[in-house]
Amino acid sequence: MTLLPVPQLGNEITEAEVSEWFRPDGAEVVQGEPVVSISTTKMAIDLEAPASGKLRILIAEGDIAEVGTVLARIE
Amino acid sequence: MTLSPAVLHRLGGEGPPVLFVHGFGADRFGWAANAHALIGTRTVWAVDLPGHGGAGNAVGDGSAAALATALAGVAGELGGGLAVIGHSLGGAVALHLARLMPERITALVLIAPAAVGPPGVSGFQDRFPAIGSAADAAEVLGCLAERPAVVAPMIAHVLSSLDVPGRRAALRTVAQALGHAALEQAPPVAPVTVIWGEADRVLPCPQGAVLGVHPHVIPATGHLPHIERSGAVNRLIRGALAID
Repeated sequence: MTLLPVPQLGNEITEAEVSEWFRPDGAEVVQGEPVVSISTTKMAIDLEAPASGKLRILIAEGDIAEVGTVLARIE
Repeated sequence: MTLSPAVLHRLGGEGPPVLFVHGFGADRFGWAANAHALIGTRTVWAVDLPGHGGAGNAVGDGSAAALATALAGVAGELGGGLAVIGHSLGGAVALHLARLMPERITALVLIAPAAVGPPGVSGFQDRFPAIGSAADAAEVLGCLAERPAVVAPMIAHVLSSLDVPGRRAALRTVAQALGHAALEQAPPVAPVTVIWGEADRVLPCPQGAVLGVHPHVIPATGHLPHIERSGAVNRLIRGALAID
């Protein structure tokens, strides 16, 4: 199992909003595939699946997550 | 010539220093999609150049050389063995910076650098300082990326950044200098990697070599490949910096 956390965004940005999941919960994803867009007050960032496997979404669209919060697991 | 100091911001990490240099109208916040890929092995810095972000608005003659002089004035804090990653105008600034301090810079990564390839025809830098509303911003920024979702989240930040007194005049000066900039042709003083979006509508992707190297071309991507295709660009940056 691999975790997908909110990455370090720079020392002035401590949280981001989950804007859009590109794949649904349970989808088979490929390592490197963009799976979610997160937004700060400055810009949006696409995050890639850190591994191949089944995507388990933990944080829903519209929710705010702090840096380090696990957004999803890849099983 | 009056120049405000450039302002450095340490984004995080440990190890040899990497400095991100933003493009026209942007600032230190534009690297959030890339900083995290380097923070594990590098000390990551981002600058606000004069006329941008939290820096003052005295931009001298507005040229990349002037902005690089301002940056060189504070770059001593970064230490040696410095890799510089510059986007658009920031790419031209990085080239000038490398000439000012060649012994300190070990690598250059230039993302759609200004004054390197064919001239832009979008008029982006001339329209940007006149942005007056969110609708203006959406239209002017729309040429930056192929995916609209990349641009929309930037609008509020751009509007507030233009509200700084003296900011619009400073950006007009920089825009004019960009319009008259001579082509960068001298070989860079450090190993250089060039990255370009194939569908760049601001600075067209060159068809051949520039600065003695062939650009890594990112398909179906516009002027912000480091945001629009951050995974691919981050892998190229890590390769250029010999990480992994």
